[in-house]
Amino acid sequence: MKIYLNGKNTEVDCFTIQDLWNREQAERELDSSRGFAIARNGALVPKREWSTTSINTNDKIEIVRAMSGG
Amino acid sequence: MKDEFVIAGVTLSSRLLLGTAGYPSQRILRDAVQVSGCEVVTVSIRRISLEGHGTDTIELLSKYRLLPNTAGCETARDAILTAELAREALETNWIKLEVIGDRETLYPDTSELLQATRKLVDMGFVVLPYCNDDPVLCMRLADAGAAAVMPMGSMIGSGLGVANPANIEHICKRSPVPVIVDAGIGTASDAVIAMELGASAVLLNTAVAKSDDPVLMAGAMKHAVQSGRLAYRAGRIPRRGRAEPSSPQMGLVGS
Repeated sequence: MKIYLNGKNTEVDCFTIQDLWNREQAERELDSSRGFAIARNGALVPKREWSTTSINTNDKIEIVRAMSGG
Repeated sequence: MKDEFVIAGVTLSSRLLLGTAGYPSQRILRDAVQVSGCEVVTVSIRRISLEGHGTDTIELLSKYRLLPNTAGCETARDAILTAELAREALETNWIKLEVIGDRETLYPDTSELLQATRKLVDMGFVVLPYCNDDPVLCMRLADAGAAAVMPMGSMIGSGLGVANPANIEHICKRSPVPVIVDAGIGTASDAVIAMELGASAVLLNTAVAKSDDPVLMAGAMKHAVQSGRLAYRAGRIPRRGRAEPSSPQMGLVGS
């Protein structure tokens, strides 16, 4: 399925936001999702709703993290 | 006498808030934050890089109170979404609200800033808006429910110090909420001036991060903020256009 992930055309085989996060978490070898958040089509998806929020073709997904800043 | 600095009911141990961007290394960042004695550090919210994984600044700063910002946002809508993402990511409802109206000067877009402040306050955020050194705007932001106002000393990253001390003094005298002078600080004396004008605190980043020795400058800023606060409380003498002898005028030798 094709989605726009952080502004880029990306092919994923994920059904939910949780699936997508699990993929990122494994790739990044992270212990938890602290410091990260996800928006779908311009709206925050709270962490408690990740597993029940499905991903559809052409969705715009943003995965963000807290990093250094002024 | 206790001289507490309180924001939204939280007593903070330091009147210096430090940004965490642009340090030469993670180690220097860690040491500078520690030496500064600050309790609150600012962080940004950015898309993860899909190629690189980056370093975990948040883990490094875990013992400090994190103040996420909406730096780079140009509309109330983007700033509100960024604030929501920050709250979810970091489990804090504090937000340093920046809505930029012009990339050249990084001046705030005041109408978007006010609109975003109102909305975020309604959504339960503790809103700390970065704003112009404009007494009217600062009043409007406080009326809108901002927990503090953060007028600029001068342009972000400029190091020009407090460009309009009369305005900052006005704002400090009249503000019903704490005033944190944010941006433009270039060196320790600038921070002293901001505090002497009556600011509750100073927020700075570049002056420390881009100095030749950030850890040393972090210590200088710690003392500057403390000195400026003490001098403000002590009350400066009036400026005079003539000399006033400090030694007694009676009993001069040879008179």
